[in-house]
Amino acid sequence: MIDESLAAQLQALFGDGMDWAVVGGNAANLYRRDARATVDTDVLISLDRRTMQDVSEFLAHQGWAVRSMPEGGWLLRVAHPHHGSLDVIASETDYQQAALARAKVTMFGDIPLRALAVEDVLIHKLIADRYKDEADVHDILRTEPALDEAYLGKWLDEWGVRERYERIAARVRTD
Amino acid sequence: MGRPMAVSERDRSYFRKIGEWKASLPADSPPPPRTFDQVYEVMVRIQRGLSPAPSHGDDAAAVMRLTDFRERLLRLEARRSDRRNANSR
Repeated sequence: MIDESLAAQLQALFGDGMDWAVVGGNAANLYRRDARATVDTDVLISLDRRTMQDVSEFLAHQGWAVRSMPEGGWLLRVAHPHHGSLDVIASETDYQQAALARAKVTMFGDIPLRALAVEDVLIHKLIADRYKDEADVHDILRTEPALDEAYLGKWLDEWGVRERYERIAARVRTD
Repeated sequence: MGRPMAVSERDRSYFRKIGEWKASLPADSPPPPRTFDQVYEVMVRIQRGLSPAPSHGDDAAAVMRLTDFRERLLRLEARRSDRRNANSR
């Protein structure tokens, strides 16, 4: 769960650069009709300016314990007695870079964080395709968010998830 | 041997009514898009109702979930790239 202290740590670690964003359930909660319980915090980062080892060392100084760092440095999973689990995921595709570039500054009090824009939360959830991802898409669409249809449509087709999106959108219309 | 389980129209209607009632309830969170501190306040409220409050996810399950997501992403990215190359030929 992102509280003020974790928000301050994320800001200290990643700063004001455009190369990181909160993703996953915490990002979905910004746009869902009703926020849902979520345990892990997921952050997507670009490794242009840093290595996963740098991130790991910074977090270790803040009291985090490394739980997993698979070969290739694409993921770092750390745990903290107060903050729970944090997954730091390296961006590896053009799409993830595009999503990072258009992430929104979202505040925790006076601490600026970055989070995926609503279209990218929807696309991530449609690709992940678990029951709770579909529930997130459904709950977000129920709020009738203002969407950049051209951007969303482009990536729905690129990822081959348009049919999934249309099916959920149709269900929202008949609810 | 017992009777095979079946779902009657009455059962369907019962669950549909519950679904409609739930959907008609006012939202329990401030309207989106929210800030992270607004989400935090909702999370604290939700966790108060959970006993014991979960503090850590399951490491193995989380790594498996993220590995699966990554593989799907990279597979689709490779397919996109192949398509792009074919179109440019």
